[in-house]
Amino acid sequence: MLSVRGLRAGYGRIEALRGVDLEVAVGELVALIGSNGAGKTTTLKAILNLVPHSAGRIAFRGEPTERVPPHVLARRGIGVVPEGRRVFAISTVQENLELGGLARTTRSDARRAMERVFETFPVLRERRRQRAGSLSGGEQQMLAIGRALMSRPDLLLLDEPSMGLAPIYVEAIFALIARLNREGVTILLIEQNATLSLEIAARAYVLEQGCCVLSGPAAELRHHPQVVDAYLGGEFADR
Amino acid sequence: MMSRRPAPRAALAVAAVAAVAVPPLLAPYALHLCVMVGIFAILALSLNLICGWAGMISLGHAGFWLIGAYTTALLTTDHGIAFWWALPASIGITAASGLLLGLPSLRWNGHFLAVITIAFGMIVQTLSVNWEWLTHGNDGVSNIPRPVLFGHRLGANLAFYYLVVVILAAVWALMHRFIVSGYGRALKALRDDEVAAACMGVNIARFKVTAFVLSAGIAGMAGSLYASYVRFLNPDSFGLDTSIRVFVMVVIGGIGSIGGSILGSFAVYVLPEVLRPLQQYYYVIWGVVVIVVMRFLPGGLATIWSSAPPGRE
Repeated sequence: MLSVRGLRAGYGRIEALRGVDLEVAVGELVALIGSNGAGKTTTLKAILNLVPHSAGRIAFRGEPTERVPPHVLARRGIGVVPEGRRVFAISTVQENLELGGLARTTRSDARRAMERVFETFPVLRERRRQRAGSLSGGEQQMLAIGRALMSRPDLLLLDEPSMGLAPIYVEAIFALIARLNREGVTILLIEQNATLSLEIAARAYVLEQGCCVLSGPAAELRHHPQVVDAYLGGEFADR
Repeated sequence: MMSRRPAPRAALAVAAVAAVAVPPLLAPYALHLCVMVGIFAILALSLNLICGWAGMISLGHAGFWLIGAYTTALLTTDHGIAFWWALPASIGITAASGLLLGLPSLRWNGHFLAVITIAFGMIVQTLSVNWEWLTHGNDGVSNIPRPVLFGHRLGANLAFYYLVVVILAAVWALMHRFIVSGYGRALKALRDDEVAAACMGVNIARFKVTAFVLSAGIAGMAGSLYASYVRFLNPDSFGLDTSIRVFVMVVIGGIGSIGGSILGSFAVYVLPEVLRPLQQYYYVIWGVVVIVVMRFLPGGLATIWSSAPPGRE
């Protein structure tokens, strides 16, 4: 579905990614974990061509995506839940969802898609005439995910969905991500919360200073000493 | 607009009836003010398209207004073309000039874009002074004919007033359709968060440029009406102060509100006239009025009917 090879990208002279490789197969839930500044969000931005990359290959469903602008990628089937949610604060919940469906759906399709989103998130139905900016953080995260699902993406990219949420919402959001994947959505999950990510993902990549330092099945990475040390509350030994 | 409560239907109906029924009863000078308010309302609506829905700032709208006005003025005088052909020509040429600002709007935002638009307005005004072969420079263009409709020349200001009202109503309807369409929703999203909008499949570049081109075209239409109404143009009427005045109309009326732009044009154009007998105090009072409106109605006059200010979360 998505393949990234030797990706290098940066901001001005600062190189944030120094050769990232990752692969997401159809139907998979893959996690990309790493600490602050490891390059997780930059990877996402480079995939979406929001940041130019200096080297490397990115392909979505076998087609190269270099120089394909983000709005075209959305139409080709990449759904995004951006970091910090970025719901359209001055628009209502319903308008947010309608916008999510703008890229790929007809009016009647959009109505059905919205119905499905409301079934998944009943709270959004209750609040559909409310401004998105007036929702709580967790509700906004649900809206951001619902908005991305409106276009029925083939690949869903989630950037730090747990960021800034109350623990109860974090659990709920992760359970939901796992469920969406079981229902057939291919997902690339970018997260700092390694514990929960490795619980729901099939495979994972660990990013450090712009490089993939580890990768493998999530079950194995959970016990990998380096991961345990750095992310799962182990000692910060010799690092 | 948005989650604000719209003005009660009754108030709108009264305003519409008054707009049609009252002007025949007015003194000539008051009628003149009404025509100017109508023309400025069209201009303010065009700017509102950029500020209110696309979230960009233009302080160069007098430039578009000038291009529309001069196109009609020169075509109808120097080339003897009828107003009804000059009007679409004004719209077309001004819309094309909208590209000149639409393209920079892709790279610059906020106050950078505002400064670029100021420069645009100044360049256009300077050209209208210096390209004497085309514009007659500071001499201006005089004896611009009034439109002829079904064999009748709209010489009387009252007849011209109704022409302006009809066109204003058409612009209102167009803008209204535009806002409820997916296009309007996309523009609103783009104003809120460009990157998120792009990720939802909104083609930012196309939307921004289209907003500028449409806005410029409508401003050109206002210019065309202005030229044939006042019948004499010179570059003085199209300076930065005019651009700012139109911007104030949009802000006072309510950014993103159609009715607000019309209300704002009325307030900004008529109030100084009412206050004029106060002479040197009038600027002071006018300034205080603007500050008070902004303090207590930050969403503009359009929100006067809703209790809570539409604060941004």
